[in-house]
Amino acid sequence: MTGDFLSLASVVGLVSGNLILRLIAVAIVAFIVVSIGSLIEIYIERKFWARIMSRYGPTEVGRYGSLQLFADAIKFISKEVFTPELADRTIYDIVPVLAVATSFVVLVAIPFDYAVSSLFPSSFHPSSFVISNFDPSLLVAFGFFAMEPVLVLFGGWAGGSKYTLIGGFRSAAQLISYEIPLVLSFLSVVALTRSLNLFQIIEVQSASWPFLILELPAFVLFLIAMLAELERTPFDLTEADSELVAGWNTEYGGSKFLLVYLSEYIRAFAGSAIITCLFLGGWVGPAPIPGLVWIFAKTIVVFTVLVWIRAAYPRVRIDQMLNLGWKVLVPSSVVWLVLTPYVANFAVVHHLLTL
Amino acid sequence: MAYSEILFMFVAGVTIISALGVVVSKEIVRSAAYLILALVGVAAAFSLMDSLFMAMIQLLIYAGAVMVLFLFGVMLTRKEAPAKRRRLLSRTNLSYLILSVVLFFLVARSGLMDTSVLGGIPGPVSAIAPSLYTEFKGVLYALAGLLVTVGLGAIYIVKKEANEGKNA
Amino acid sequence: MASKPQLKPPVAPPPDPLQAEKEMVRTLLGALPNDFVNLKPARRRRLVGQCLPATFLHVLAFLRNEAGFDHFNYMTAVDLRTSFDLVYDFWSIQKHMELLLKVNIPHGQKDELVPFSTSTGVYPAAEWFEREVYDLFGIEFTGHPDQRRILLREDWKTHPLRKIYDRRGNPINPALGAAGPPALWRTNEGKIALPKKWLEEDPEVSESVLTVNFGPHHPSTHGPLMVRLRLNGEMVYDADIVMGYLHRNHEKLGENNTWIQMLPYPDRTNYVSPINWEWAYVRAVEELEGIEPPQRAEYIRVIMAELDRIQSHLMFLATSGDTVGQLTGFVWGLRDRELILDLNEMVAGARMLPNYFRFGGVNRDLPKGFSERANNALDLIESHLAEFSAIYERNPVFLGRFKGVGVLSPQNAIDWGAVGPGLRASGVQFDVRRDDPYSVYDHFDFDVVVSNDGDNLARFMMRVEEIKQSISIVRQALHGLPSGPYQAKASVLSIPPGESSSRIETPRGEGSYFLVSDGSPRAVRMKIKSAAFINLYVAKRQMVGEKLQDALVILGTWDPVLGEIDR
Repeated sequence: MTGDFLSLASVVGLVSGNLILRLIAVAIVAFIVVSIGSLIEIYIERKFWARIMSRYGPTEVGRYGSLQLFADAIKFISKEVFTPELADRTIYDIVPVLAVATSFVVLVAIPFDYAVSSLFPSSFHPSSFVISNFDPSLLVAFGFFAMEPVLVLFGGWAGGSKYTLIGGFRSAAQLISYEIPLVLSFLSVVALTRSLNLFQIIEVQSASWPFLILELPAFVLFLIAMLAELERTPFDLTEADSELVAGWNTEYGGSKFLLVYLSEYIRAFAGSAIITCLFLGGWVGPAPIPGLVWIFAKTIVVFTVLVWIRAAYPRVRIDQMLNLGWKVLVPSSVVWLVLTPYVANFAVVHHLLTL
Repeated sequence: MAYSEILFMFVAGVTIISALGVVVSKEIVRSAAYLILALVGVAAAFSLMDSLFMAMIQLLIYAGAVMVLFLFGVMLTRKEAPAKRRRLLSRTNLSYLILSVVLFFLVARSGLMDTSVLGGIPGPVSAIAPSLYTEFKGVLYALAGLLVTVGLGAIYIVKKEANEGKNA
Repeated sequence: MASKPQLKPPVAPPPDPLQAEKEMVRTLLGALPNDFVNLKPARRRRLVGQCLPATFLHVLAFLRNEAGFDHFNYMTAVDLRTSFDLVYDFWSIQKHMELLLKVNIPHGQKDELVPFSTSTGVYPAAEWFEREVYDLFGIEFTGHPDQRRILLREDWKTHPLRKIYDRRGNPINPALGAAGPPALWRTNEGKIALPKKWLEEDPEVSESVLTVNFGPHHPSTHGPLMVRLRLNGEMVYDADIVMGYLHRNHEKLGENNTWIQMLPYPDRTNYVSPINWEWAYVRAVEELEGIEPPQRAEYIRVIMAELDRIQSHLMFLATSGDTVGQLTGFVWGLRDRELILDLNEMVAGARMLPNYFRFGGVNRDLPKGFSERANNALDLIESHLAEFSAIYERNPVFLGRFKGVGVLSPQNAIDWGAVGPGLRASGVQFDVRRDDPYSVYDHFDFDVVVSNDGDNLARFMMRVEEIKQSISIVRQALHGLPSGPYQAKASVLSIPPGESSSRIETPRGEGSYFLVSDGSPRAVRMKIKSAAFINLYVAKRQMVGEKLQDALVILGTWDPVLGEIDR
């Protein structure tokens, strides 16, 4: 036992000395966290949604259907890998992989590693282990979020079908037009904390009121824009199963579809985590519960709200979606951005915000 | 450090090859894909030079947004581009040659320049805003004016076309 | 025309039940004395007559523009071995009167095309009916805007409803007909013809539009139906509908099976509202036989038919959720529909295809405890309607997709032949249960819900309100259920010769069976007038000029059921 611990300590020492090894360690942590996160998400999506619909959801595989997801994954992997005749082979094959990869990179910016390291402060000291505490980490997250429309367009085009092409165009138009309110609404948080670093934003929140209250309009705008960015109902018209079959990913099957599906849920997880960090205080919580549990639980709760919205709302039409984005979200987020300095001033004066 | 140089070489190589791919590729969507790869390569080069902010802006604006507009245009065109065979000494190839020579001299000249003017070691991201809003105030105003003009012009053109469409 | 001497009845006689009908006959004969043959009232609210092919279009124009027969019900043909009877059925929405008009045109021994003039110029709703007659009988309508096959494939050579073909479509006498169905009919190489308009189109237009096929396997077409949309961006430039994937030719089956053998088929005609279709068939046969079912049977029929309407409309609530991506509503609709299917099982032993009605009554009496169970189910459904309204008509996103979208003007609704809730949503008062009452519907107190909006939301709300009305009717009927026999004596084989047509308000609108009997155990002609068929035509006309996403929602609000459309 002691020997193990010693070797662990030496590994930690080695890791904290070397940037590349630190990166790998953090990547492994992020991978584990997001895998568990996506599994829980998919399970919630299926079970919670089913209960709203007065169905049972999965019940057969494992207790309460808990192993259903693994069964599905095995099914997807064991399916035939095919390429449609009209597809552009290279691009068609590479898009799902890139979609998962870019979605994973987003997680680098989210301080899960801090939450993990604070569980074991003696062996993983935050100062040597944490990598998500770098300057424009929020920008990194959105930089890689912004790769999605390009991938979607290529995926839709490479599928060689009209459904995928129309779905791809819709997707790209939607993602592009909702990136602007998304960025504008998180900019007001940035203006409040004077930092593009998610880590510092949470630090500021730990000493102030959560930004959910201070920045309520920004939160609402961000949530709506995030819904659209994640292509979830009511903005899932990129998938639009009733008219476009499955939108841009219609032609993907088997393991490629699994990757597309996975990337969607990773993005959903990352998006929920960003909402958690920006507005809900990240790992900070009132009760003496480890930070990892807080940040994880908050992320899952945010995701559950997304599922709830999905169960309650139908799909909007493309022009309604674009109108909402350009005529409502963009102007109101600009207005709120202009108002934010006054809010900040007020909050600092009344000790609601400590910088 | 050695590995960062190797990494830089790799990124630069990918960027150059994909830049060539943009020009060489027959299919126009492939060209666009190469262009995105080149832009991502530039972003990677920025981040290797410790300028993550610039890298992400590159990714967000160029690779993410501008390229989507390109792709919209490109994908709506016909899939099969006419494959024309050009002579070696055609006018187009000649202009490529001249352009390459000019570019080469520009690059060579920039190597002699004092890079400290461009910032050298980048400061924190938060240093951008003060310099943007004080030092480069005039440029910012000019850009803002230009963008507003462009936006208004675009709205004008669209409105005009919509009205004409209605009348027709 | 010389006025007939009016017979003055002596003392306060019972008013002539056919007075309005005789009045109408007089009006028609007064205006067109030489064009009608044998025009007379067949029963209340129904005139039957014949007219001459030469002046047919003239008569049609008069009927529509002067006499007020504005609603085109259906048209079909009857093969009399040497000639065709073309049968046209009109309804006057103002005067509540039906007119069944026949035109006789001769045809040769062989399967050759017979020309006749099209009525689409007067009644646009005739377009698909004429295509169907062209397809199945080989009557070519000169001047028809888009004459091609509709139910069968374009490479089908024969016209199978002619009497020279047997039930499999092979010629009875090989010298007369073409050689059977094409050899390709089991392969995938069949051709689907493009609309004439698309072929003759300006090449510049066809360059700029994108043709997208939805179906035949597609979630929002509600069955194997192909919708071909020409898209100009997101806007629908033109639409074409390819049907027939579920075509079983029930009409030919009706001519080859005995009357009683046909009984299970109406269930399959529309598997979403089977009981109403059973009723339509059974009523038509009863009219031929001239029997009246006992009161208890009529009450049971009303109860079952209204329950059937409720479950069909619940299915509509479900699918309209599906078309806009509201899957919660989809499952809720199916969940509540189960309650009624359970009642079906309790009464008839089968859930989906009960086969419960018989000539002159029903198969068996209502079981013990039915009334309580039905009342419980209705209470539950009524309380669930509030939940539905929370996710549907009180949901802003749903309203955004339904309110003010796909507006159909009353004039277009009538011209294109819409029936049922879709017609009433456009503000046209037409419900067979009230305007041409059958069975014991006049015993009950119910409203015919009408809306003036004509949009998707109105068509949607029409179903919700009709569920409420049907619940009320079932409660009244259960309350006032008389005792007595549930089955009248009726012959199942020897049906007297004659013609009959039953009109039933099915959940999708007026559906009817037009039967011709010559006294033999099989029908000479059985025409199924499908409500979903003509509503689909309206939906097709309505889609043009809408957005792609709206087009499929509009299709959904007409509640297509492919079993009924393709028959």
